[in-house]
Amino acid sequence: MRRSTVSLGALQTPAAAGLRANSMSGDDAGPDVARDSLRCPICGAMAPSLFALNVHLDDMHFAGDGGPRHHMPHGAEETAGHSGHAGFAPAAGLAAEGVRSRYASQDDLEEVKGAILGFFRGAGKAVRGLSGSAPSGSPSATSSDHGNEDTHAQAPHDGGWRVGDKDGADRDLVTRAHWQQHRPGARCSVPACGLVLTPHTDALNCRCCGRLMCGRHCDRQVRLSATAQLARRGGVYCRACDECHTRAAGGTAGQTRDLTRGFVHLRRRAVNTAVLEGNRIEKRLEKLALVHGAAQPSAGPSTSAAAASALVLGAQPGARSRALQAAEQEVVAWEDDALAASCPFCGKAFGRLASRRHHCRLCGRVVCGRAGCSTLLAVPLPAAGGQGFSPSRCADIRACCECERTVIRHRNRLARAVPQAPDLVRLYAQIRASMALVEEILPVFNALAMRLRNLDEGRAGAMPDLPRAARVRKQLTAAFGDMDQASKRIAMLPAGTPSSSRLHEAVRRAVAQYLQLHMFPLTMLPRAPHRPLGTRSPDLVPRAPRPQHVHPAPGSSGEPTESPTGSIPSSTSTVNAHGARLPPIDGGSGSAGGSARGSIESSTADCSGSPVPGPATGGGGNGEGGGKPGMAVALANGVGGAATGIASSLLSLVAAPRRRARDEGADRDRLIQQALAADPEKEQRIAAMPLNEKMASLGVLRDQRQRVLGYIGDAQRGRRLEDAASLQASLDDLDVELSLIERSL
Amino acid sequence: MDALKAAQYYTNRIATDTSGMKVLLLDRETTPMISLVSTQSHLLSKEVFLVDRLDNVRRDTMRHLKCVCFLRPTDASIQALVDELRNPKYGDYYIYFSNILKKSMIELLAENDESEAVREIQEFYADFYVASPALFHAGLAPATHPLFAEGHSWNPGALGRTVQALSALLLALKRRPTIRYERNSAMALKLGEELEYLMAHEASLFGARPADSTQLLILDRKNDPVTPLLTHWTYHAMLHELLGVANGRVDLSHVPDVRAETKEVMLAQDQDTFFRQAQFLNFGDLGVSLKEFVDSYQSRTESHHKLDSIADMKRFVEAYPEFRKLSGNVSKHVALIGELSRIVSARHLMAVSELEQSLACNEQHSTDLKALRALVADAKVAPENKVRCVILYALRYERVQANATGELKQLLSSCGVDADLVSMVDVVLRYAGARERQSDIFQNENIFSRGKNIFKGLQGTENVYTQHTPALAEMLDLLLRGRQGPLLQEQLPSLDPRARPLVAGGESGLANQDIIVFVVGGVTMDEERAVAVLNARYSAQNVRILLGGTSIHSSHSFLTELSTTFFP
Repeated sequence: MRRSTVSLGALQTPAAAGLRANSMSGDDAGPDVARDSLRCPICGAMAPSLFALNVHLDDMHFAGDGGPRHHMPHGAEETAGHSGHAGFAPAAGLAAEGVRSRYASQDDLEEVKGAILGFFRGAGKAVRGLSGSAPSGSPSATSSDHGNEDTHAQAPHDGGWRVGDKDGADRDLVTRAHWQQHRPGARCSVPACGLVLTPHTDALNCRCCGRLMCGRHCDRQVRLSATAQLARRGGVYCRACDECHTRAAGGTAGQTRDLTRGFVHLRRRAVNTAVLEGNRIEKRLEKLALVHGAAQPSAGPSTSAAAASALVLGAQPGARSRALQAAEQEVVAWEDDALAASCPFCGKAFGRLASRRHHCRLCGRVVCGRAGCSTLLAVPLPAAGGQGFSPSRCADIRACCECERTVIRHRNRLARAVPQAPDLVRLYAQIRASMALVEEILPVFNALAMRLRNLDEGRAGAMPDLPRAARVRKQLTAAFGDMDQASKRIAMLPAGTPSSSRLHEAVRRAVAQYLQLHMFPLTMLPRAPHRPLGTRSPDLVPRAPRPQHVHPAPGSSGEPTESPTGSIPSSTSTVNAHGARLPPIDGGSGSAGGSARGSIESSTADCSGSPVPGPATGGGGNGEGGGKPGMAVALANGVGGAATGIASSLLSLVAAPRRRARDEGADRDRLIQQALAADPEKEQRIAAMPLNEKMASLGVLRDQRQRVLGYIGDAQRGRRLEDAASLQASLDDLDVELSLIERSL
Repeated sequence: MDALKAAQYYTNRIATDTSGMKVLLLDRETTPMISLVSTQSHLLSKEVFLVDRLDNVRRDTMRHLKCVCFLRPTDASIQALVDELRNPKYGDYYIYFSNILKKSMIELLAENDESEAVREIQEFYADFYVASPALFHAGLAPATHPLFAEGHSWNPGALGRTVQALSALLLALKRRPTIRYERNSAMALKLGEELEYLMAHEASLFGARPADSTQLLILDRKNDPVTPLLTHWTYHAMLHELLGVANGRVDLSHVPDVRAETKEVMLAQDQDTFFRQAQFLNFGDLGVSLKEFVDSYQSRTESHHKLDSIADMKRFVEAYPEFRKLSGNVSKHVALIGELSRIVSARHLMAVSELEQSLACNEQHSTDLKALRALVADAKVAPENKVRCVILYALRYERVQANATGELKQLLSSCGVDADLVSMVDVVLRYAGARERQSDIFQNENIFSRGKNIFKGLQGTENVYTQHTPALAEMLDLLLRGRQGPLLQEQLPSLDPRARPLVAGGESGLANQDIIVFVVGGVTMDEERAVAVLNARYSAQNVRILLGGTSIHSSHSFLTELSTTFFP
């Protein structure tokens, strides 16, 4: 009868009252317990099975805020991407590609495209004029016509082909006898697509193979002869499908078959049930947590469970546990003990003492307490404030092994969304962003460098592109530098497992490989002619000290990337690898690092743009061009020719700081004064550093200083005076840093 | 018609279709397939940072990686994949199968992908091993896939694998060929029928009818047992025969005083220019070529020392990746060729080869027999080589009155040759004796061919060690020249009686034809060379030939394969 006392409070409708009366008689009937247990304890509705009743409880009587939260993760709808060629450009595909590689900058490309288009249109008119005069008839007739046209048109225009329009200017020139007829309900012949063709999707015939396709899969162009065969020379540019296009290009695009769609369909069935089940169990867990939270004394009165008041009223412990069980059965109806003779999982018969009956709180079935059959799940209870759940307070809830597995799988599914190793992912995103930038501007740079070189050979006079090239080069250098930094940091990330250390190493190698491949063109910028000091090209100077990242680096927005030292302990090795170019590190002085980087960029621009140095390097003007690669070679040999070695030494070469030569005789104090004037808080910051940090950076700095001294010696022996000057500048920086720290000690 | 490019198309797609950090999972068989056509650095540049085996259970969980799988649709791989999907270790899964997937396999995978980790399932038909652009094989090894069941009939497993490899190749090349088979070979016919059935069954993949001018000729090794038994003298063939090339790798670890970095060397045509140029050179020319190669290396190393001019340095730095590869190549090829020449002199292969060529090409019974007796008695010649020569003798003079095979076998035994090895003479005779063969490879069966043979002998040859031309090459040459059309038509019937005749007739020969030759029972590297020669000779006629086989044989592997089945 305890069940009815609890439920009475919930009874409201007359219909339910009728039901209630009905079941009262059932209660009296004694043996009819099974039917009684399948009655909803809240509204009293009857259910055909325990499972159905529990589903009903979930759906109708859940007081929580959630509502159904069945989110179905979407399968992979997006199949193999459609490569290249956006849209159906009127310019001939192949020609446009060729153009793109030669005229890399966008406006140049537009110009050229326009010119080419104009030219082809002219040629097209010429052909059309001819074909208009020819008697049009059977395909064979047109084919011979076409042959004639070809020879006619080729004479003046070097290749008598023209651009086929979208709606078939090739009509008269290429046979259409092989075309697949368009009937209503026809589908795109690309197996992976299979779209029903409507005016919306476009219905186009590939001029080459004749198959019908949707617009998306028929947007290439190939040259066809009059008999719709692929033509190597001559022919008319016609619309074609991807497959014919690859065939024309001489490639072998193998057959593929995409099974994703069918697979997703099959999977949806399996996953649907799993997800539904998981969500249901999850919701029951939530309700149980509410119930248990209300039952525990520390819970605030704010919990909205229906049974809360009843539970709080029952003061003595025995009644409390009974009330708790009753509340639990409101969430999930329990199977009657009398009906369960044995455990459904291990099959052992239940006894009074030895193998006791337990109820799974999640599905209501009777199971035994053995480890394989049921366990106690620790469920976090509602937090005191009424918002969310606090992991510190838990209740143990018995669950059978099936429900437990469902819960675990559900949780796994949710956990998949959380990415591990965010550091790695973030750094890798930086690398990719830099790569994308390089891919975008390297062709521009190459085109400029090529043009400049040709100019250089011709006449060594004006070089209007030089400042622009220098700017682009600076961007590239920055991108390469960022990539190198990020990859080094990745290599330094703590690797928990052997595979993650392999992964880090592989990323580092990939970047080194990339740098090795892409950095050579940077050295190819010709020297500018000598100009008197002070007449530098005006747009070079103001742009040079522009701060830091000239490109957007997604993923690094909130990160103080200015400081090359960062917060990772790898900074020391980073500095060692780039001894010649990086400013000295000091704990976390972002601004100092930032300003130094800025000056690196400006000096890079100098170095590539107009090598008009101060008096110290004036005499070395001729030698410097060779000095740079020479140094790279020396360094590469020094590190045993390892790929990473050459990449980083090239980097140090390209980004080698070259500053105005300072007065050699300036004493250290004056340098310190200057540095302090530039950054007044620096001394305090250094003083504020903890002792051990100071000692550590002192060691690093001294080590670096030795190194730089060595480099300077090399550079002077090799008469690379400009390098020596820039190295001297970084030596000065190091000295300032060292003495500041020493003084504070 | 380039098997290498066809396979590389797929590996490229596998590596590039998904962007982001990736791990590539392979199975036991796709690992060598991928490593034959792709390189570590290529994969690295496409963001494939880890490569692992699917059946390696000790992989770590790395959810931030995407997982690309390239697997054969075998039960073992599917089961391993099911286990992986039940407990996914990586983020998203992009699964590519190397062949047609059974429906039940898709269902099994779908049921077990509850966490919806799979983003894509595709079939990429790269289910064959690429030895060179014009040579592929099905990778049948006696240990895993014994070829014969009993006598001249297929072992079902080997047949299935061969059909898969051939159909995948056709799909990769997008061909639906006309199938022709050697009339006397039940195995060739069976393979053709299975393939035809599959193509009809999977019309959506292959197309409904034989649309293009591709011919698939299925030949049987038993019609030419001679080529795999000979010592060949071209570089690639020698490597196969004397050192053994397993999936593009040569194991040199057993070689005396080999340097550490050349213990195992890779042979890759598309990266190794020297190998590409020298693979078909004979041993004499090879030495000259290597000398030039080393000289060029030395001259480059010199410039490495005197880097005083700027241009020098620039060139050096720019050529750096090239340079490193080159210096690796020099030591590699020097080690390989050094070992080859050591083996040649240690095993007296020049003398052996001279006799072999004489047995294979010229009808001189008494002279041959005398020479053969002397060779068998020679203690310096290895037993295997003695047996090969006796087998060649037995094959050529099988129908000759004064046949002395029995006497030679006794002689072998008395010289201490292992009884199993001696019995190989009978094994080969059972496999490819005169009554099993259909064409007259020795040209000694009737008066006309004998006349021709004598005429050929009069022409003379420039090199006594390379007189022999594989029967396959002679047949193709006849075909392409348009000679003996009716005879070939008779020997190579088509499965489809309505197919247009193989030879159009007339003197012009074949043109605009793609021919895939598949040898049941294995191909040899010498046949690859012969096909390369033909490809070069007939490229003007727009004829392209691609060679394939159930495996690539050396004389040793050929005899091993036969010994299990054709034991008397």
